[in-house]
Amino acid sequence: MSVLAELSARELLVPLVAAPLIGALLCIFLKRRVSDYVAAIFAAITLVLAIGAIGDVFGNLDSTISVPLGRLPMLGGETGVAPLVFELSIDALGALMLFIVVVIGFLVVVYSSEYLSPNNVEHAAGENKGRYYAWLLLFLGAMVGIAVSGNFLQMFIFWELTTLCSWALISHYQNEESLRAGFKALVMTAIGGLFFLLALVLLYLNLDTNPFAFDALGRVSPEVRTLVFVFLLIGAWAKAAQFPFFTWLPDAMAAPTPISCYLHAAAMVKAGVFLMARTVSASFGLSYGMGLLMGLMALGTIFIVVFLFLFQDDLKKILALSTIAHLGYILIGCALGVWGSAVAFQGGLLHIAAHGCGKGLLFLAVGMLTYYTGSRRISELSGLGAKLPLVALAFFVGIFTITGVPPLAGFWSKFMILAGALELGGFAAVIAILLLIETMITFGFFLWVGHRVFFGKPSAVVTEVERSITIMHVVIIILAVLCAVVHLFAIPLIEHVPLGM
Amino acid sequence: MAESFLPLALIGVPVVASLIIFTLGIKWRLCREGAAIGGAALTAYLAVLLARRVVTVGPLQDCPLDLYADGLSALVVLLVSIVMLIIVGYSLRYMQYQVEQGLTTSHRLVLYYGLLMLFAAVMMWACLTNNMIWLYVALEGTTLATALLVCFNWNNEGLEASYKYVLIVVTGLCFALFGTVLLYSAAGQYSPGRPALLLTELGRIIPLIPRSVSLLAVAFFIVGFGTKAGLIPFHAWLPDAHSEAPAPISALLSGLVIKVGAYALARTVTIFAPHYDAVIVFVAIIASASMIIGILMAWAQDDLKRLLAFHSVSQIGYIIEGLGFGTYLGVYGGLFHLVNHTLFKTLLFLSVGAVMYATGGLRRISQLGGLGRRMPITAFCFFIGAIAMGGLPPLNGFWSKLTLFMAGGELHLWWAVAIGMVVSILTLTCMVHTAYKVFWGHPTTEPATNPGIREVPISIWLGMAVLAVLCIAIGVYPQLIHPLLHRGTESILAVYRAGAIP
Repeated sequence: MSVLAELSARELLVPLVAAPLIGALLCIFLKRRVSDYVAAIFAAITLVLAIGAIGDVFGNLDSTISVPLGRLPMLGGETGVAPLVFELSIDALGALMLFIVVVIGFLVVVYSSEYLSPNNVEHAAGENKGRYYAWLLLFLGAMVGIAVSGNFLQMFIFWELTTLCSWALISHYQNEESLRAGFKALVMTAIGGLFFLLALVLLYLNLDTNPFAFDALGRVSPEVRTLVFVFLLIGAWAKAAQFPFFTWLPDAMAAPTPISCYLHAAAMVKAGVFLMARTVSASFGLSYGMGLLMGLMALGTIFIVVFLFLFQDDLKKILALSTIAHLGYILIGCALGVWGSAVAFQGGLLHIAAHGCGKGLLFLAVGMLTYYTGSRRISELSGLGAKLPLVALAFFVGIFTITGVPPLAGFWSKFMILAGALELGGFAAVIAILLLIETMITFGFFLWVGHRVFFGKPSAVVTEVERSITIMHVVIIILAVLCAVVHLFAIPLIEHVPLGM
Repeated sequence: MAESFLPLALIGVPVVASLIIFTLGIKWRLCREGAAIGGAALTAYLAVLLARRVVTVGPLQDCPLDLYADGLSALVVLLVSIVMLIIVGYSLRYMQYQVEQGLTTSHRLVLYYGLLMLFAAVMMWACLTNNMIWLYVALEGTTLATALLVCFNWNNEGLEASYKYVLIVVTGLCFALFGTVLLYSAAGQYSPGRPALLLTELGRIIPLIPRSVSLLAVAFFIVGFGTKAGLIPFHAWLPDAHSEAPAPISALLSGLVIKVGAYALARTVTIFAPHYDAVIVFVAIIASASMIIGILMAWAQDDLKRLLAFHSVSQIGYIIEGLGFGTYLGVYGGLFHLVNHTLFKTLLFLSVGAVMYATGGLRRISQLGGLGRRMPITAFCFFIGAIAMGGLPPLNGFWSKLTLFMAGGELHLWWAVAIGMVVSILTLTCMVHTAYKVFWGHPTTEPATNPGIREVPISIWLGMAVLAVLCIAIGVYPQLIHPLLHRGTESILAVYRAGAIP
């Protein structure tokens, strides 16, 4: 650790991105138990390197540490200066994202070692573990890359890599349902990626110097800025499963549960909102209309989802829908940021961390439910609390975190978003009231789900459960603790994320 | 401009190899397979030397024979020779297996390798000549050399495909000859004799000749070389020829034969583009049509080789669109995509060949499934090729498409950019869909569940692995081949700029 302390983030960034990729390469050739250890070791190395880099950011919160790696010569044309394309950098916003990505990534890798075993009642599996870890570590590496990208084009490269990884991982079981779900996710997010690409082309053609830098939106003419912003927003919608692209996410529940957890808590969908957070944070001159578009679509998505809740019996699909709504919250935080409320913007950023921990915990708890019972239908489950008390506890902590019960992390983030909205007044206040209503409905609904599943008389599948203590229990305890403390770590970071106006 | 024997040696080595194969190949295997692989390896080595000299010294020439090597020639020569080496290496085991299966006989392999080397020689000649008539002759040569290879299996389908191939391409190329003659007759009064036929003089000639003659010549060139390149509506030969030929020859057709058409277009039409906006738009329209119709046809295929063939029709659209733009970014993107398409399409055809090798000739998507478990390396190679063609980073196809989109935006041809992007997503989905149908999931039909199916031997997958690594390497580090691409682009721009100086 002392060696690590001496290294600055400048030296850590490249190994940080490389470590999971090397791990992924190794895992291709490994099988069963060995692949468990190798994957865990490489995820742990990534975690340690990331903590080193984040520690460096804490040393000077307002600075950006960046490492230029290479230019793209052809884009300079015959004589011009080629733009910087390969570039890693880390600042307060990147550090926040990086923290969630590596912590949950590490926990998911550890959790997978037990989940993908012959003891799993739902999907007894131990085959193809090497391939599974290879994709998972590649996913981790791509997400680390997104968090530490130094410009839009670099981020796009990792962005498409996450599309690829999520496609492969959603299809992991390779049955008809999962293959179709994976393909759907790939098509929808790749279409979103095209809009991102179009935004990049526009930026390149309108700027002579540093066309892909994060502050590029502030330097183009207002018409181009609107176009670029809308294209980026569409890309983010597809990635973050917002209306009208939201249908791929519930289907993606065909994935193994640890993957669903990672997809929702830290990766893929968070990449979409992270892009918007980056854009809003670094851009000058975003107009009221842009915020309105972003906010209204997010609000619409939230209420569509609340309606869809009522028809779901599958626990994982309910969680998936809830994720869509919470990504809406984060986007509303960004939209309020466009309108000038720093508090709401920071609340949105905090919600990335709070929702990451809370939803991660919920998914892992549901994963354990299916691991022991083989079912994830609410109608088939009841009275689990007596059999699996720790899972029950974790589930309720998760619910309280994402719905915003104090003093858990979710409360602070929602509080900041609502406070910012009320401060702005006008239409923002209406949004705040609607959000409050949605929170109450969701809270009631989730309480009902928790009550139904964990209390009452044990159902048929529940009585057959054989208790055991596994590594998964350790993982959910760690994540439950994080739910209560993550904001203490995140608030100093988000206070230093600039809001360009 | 330096005199050099390298261009001549590059043509000579495969010719000699071919002569050895035809004369001594029946008796000794060493003079058949050995001469082929040796000739291909030596050609590749010379091509590397040539490329290095062109990048450091500048264009090379061999004046009496009108041979000339600038950046563009060096790029294509290097690409052709490396892919030739891989295809010959792949053929060794693959064709031996065909003999073992009784599909062909041992002495017919003489014809196979002999024609392969002859093809390599005319390919080199086409890329190294500076004379428009000889370019036409060499292009006809590539058609004739491959015609017999297409019908190598000597069955009805093969013969029909081969007949169609020769008929359409030879007829099409006649138009290129018309264009050349037209240009020569128009230019003859300004610069009589040989210079009027030199490709490097074209830039000086174009401003002198009337607009109508120029545009007519361009139209002839597009029809002629477009037929060779497989552009819609002149593509009819392509799917049949690709699907009926043996797998290495399919790879050769898509990887190299259609590229020489694109090369010829780059030498002629691209020079006209900066002078006439109409050329840019016309080429963009025909290229976009090729992209769209090609990809739609590809979606409708069940035969893996036909599917890849229609993808070639679609992808060649990108290349020609870029070359037609005539700007630095456009030509760069077109050449970049030419290189990338050669790499990943050869990889894909060779992978399909490996699937056919392992399953005893199955190539219908509906008959295949779940092969990835038993053929992991082939599956990996096919996925890399599929994703690279789909244009996802961090693989090579992404960078060339990005350059092309930016080139299109630069000229405000936003409709062409939009079509390019839509076709890109359709390509990705089509290829990924195909890949997971073939390699993932579970086999449903009887032949694909055969327990005897296993990974192909190393002599077959080695070449595929090299191509896959190249795809990844260029994708991760796109600066890798920048010096060559930059020289190639510069050499085209230099030709038309020569005419801009008063």
